[in-house]
Amino acid sequence: MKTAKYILDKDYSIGEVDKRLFGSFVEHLARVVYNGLYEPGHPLSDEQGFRKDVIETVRQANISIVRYPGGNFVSGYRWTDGIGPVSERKRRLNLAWSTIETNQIGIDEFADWVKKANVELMASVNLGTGTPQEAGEMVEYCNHPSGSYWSDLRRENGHLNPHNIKLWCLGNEMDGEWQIGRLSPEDYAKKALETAKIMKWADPSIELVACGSCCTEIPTYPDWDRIVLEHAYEKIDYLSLHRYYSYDPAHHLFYPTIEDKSDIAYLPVDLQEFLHTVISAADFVKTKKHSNKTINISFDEWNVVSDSNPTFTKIEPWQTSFDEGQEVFSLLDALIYGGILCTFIKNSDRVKIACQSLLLNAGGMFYTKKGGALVKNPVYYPFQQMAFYGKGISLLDQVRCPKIKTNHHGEIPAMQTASVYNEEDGTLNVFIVNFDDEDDSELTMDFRSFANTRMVEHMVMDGDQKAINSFSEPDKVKPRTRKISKVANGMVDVVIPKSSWNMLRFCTGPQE
Amino acid sequence: MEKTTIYFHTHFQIGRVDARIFGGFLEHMGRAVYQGVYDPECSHADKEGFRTDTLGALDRLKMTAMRYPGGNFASGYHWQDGIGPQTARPVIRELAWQSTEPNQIGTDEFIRLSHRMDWTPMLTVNLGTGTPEEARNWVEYCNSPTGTRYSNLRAANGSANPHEVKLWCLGNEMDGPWQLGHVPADQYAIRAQQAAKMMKDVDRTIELVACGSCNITLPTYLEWDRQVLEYLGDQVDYISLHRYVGNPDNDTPDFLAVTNSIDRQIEDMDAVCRYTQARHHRKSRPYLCFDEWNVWYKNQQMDGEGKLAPHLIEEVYNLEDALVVAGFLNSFIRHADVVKIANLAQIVNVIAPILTRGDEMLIQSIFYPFEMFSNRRKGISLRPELQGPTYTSRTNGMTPYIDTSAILDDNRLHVFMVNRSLTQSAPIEIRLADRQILALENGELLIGPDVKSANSYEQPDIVKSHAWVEAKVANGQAFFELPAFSVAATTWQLESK
Repeated sequence: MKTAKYILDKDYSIGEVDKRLFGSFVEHLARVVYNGLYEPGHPLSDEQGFRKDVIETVRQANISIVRYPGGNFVSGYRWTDGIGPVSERKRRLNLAWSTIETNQIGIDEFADWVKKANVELMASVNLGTGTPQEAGEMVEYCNHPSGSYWSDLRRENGHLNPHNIKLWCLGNEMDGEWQIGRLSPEDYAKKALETAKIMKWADPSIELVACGSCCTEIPTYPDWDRIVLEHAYEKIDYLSLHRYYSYDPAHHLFYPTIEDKSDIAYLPVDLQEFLHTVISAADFVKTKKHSNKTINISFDEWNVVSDSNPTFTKIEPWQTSFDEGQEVFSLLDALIYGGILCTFIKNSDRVKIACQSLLLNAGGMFYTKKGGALVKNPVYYPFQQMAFYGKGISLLDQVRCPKIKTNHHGEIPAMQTASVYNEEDGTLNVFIVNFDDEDDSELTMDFRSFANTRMVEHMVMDGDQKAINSFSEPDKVKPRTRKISKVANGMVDVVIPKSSWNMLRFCTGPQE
Repeated sequence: MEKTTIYFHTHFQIGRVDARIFGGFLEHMGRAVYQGVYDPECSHADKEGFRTDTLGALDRLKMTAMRYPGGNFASGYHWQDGIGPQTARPVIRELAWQSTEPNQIGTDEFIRLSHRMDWTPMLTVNLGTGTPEEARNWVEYCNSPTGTRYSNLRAANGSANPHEVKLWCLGNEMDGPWQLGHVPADQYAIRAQQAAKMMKDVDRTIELVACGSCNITLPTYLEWDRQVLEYLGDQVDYISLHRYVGNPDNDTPDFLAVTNSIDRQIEDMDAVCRYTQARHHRKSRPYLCFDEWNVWYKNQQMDGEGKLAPHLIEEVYNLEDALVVAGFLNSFIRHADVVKIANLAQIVNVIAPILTRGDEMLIQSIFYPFEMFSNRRKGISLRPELQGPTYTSRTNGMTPYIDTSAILDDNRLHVFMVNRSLTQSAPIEIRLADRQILALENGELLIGPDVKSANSYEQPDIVKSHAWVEAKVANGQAFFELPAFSVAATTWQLESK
């Protein structure tokens, strides 16, 4: 057994964890909407055709916010195609994903869905083929109470009350050459700025997210981020970043993120560097513009790319929906999820929003069978636990742990960690991923700066890195409870198994 | 005043303090060199003409990196004017300070002085009117073993062994319109890159400092730095920052809060370094070299009127200036992970801790905080968590009354504190999460009768440091009352680990 040390001090904090870090993303793509969350005829579907088991799982996962309707899809989407009587809606080519978009679901239906799922809605507007005026009209349609053309149209369409969407994305991945209507950074910044003005005139209470770099491999990174901020700084509130991590160079979306599997522990480090760079760009522009405003990060697409990603499946173009196709994640993927989420929590002073991508089936934390059951992927659990127990102040931690030798990035700490302290009720929750696949570690935790610390729970998910959940064995990979250790004089030793996800919960302060 | 708690945890560290943040700066300007460190006419002069009184005082400051020969002077200086027999050296019409430069002190004299004072020489090459080749020749003169043209010239001038100058500045304040040979950022970057390449070709072991923004109010602020670092980021080891602060509006609370703005200046430059590193996929990044800093606003005499050793910017320092100097040092220590070099500008007569008048010498208020910190500089900077009363300053935002930094040296903890309150002493508690304080080993306090009190030749000891050990230690924690408007440097014994 190896040894490791973990030190926390309640006086060294990073910032309040924004609950929007635990967001997700719904795009008109593959089986996310059609035959995903929307499946009329399924025994569990409600009168609108929404699967109630999906809604229940979203609620259980403690998902806070959902981005909609894209993604690459949004850059060719006319939002007006998705309103009005469903039977009269147009069938359009979805050029981003080579499907037929039937527009059975639009902004009004999705606004109903988010209410049922108890999540906040984060809407994207089309800055590819769309105009600033259309974006402004969408804000008017969604948020203006009544008495204008677009707000009255919403009322006619059955929603007397505004949708009150507070967070809006100014387009999607406009730096990507695959994007419909891709722009240069200067051209995007000008369009985003003019769109932002119109949208905020329509509703001054909204917050806006401008497109930052959609990956670090793209040649415009990080010039894009700097240039966009230099033009649009005063009108935007967040800069969006995206990243998909693949560990198998043969299976990657757009770009390989690491050279081989020895480099897996590097992935959270890569994420940290990405954040640091873009935050540096934002702070550079802040001072250059003599601004007092700080731009924070909306990491509104992130995921791991598994071997079973449906994007790799060759599909016939121009279908309206798919009966098959889902992403199946392994325990290893869940460990990477934990590492990514720990990194967000550790940057909670600047990362305010994060959307796991996508909600279900395609990259989903769970997947469904058409007409059948729902299975939670192992990645669901770290997300669910952190979303529920990660409320409070993110603390700065000091970790001494074994290192992993990678082939391309030197030695990397085997553990990724985050800790959240809730001053009001004295709860202290520590999240730890151990990427070491050879040895368990005995971790000495030092909580001496907290009074009267007691351990409440140690949940672990470990075992075979390749293990998955399936329709026949839906609960094969899930967290189990370990024996609680005794805290003596503010110190406690716990075993962190090899290849494991851990949640350690403590109580501090007066004994109840 | 309400109590201030200063809290440390020895595992929450910022980084090892680089001794070079206690550097100085000697420019051929005013009476810094001539009549400052060098004055053959003075009764205190040794046989080389160096003043033993000023050098004796400077010894107390234990300065490390010493930047030379400028400053703005460097941008019109040709180093070959300052070598060889002193009587044969040219007298130059000096343009930066409108003075007469006799070249009696040059490279070889400065290196000898550095050895004697235990300074690390840091030479600024001329990228204003000089050429990259001239810069490269200077490196050869200083660092190459004999056997080539310029190294043989050095040997002929009396130094067979190389001078081993490891730190070189690629010009001075090239972003300032006042600079001889000032150019836009992209042109400076090209010039500096050419010099950098050849200088490192001559000696691979040298470290280079690129000119960063010298003034946060210039319209090119930070954009200059981005362009320069994007172009030559991996060829330089440091980027320079300069800062002079003052109290022209006589708003002392705001003046003392300027430390906030110094923190931000450092953090902004760090952001540019990180951004450009990622932009160009570089393995390494430049660190910060804060190679001119001080209080300076009262004396604006910068025209030498053609004289040799004219009286230029002989700033008189008072107690509030000394508190701000302590604030600079606190800020450097708090950013020990990125600030690796800093140079107090300057050392004698010109905006300096020491003044001379004929054979007399005067130690000014700002001498003391530098001495108090410099004597306690070895170790690792700890992250201070401070809880205590604050005030809102006019232009520098919310400011705690107590400004602090700390250095852990095994079983000793050095804690530096400034009490910014004009009127009230501050009750302070210091404690560590994981170690017990045993005793106050020693302490010094800088204090004076009034915020504007300054030393003079007539009353040289109005503002000075005093030994100070008025602290109670109980249960491993320290308690004391820090007098109003003072600087304290304290060394605490900790229980052994």
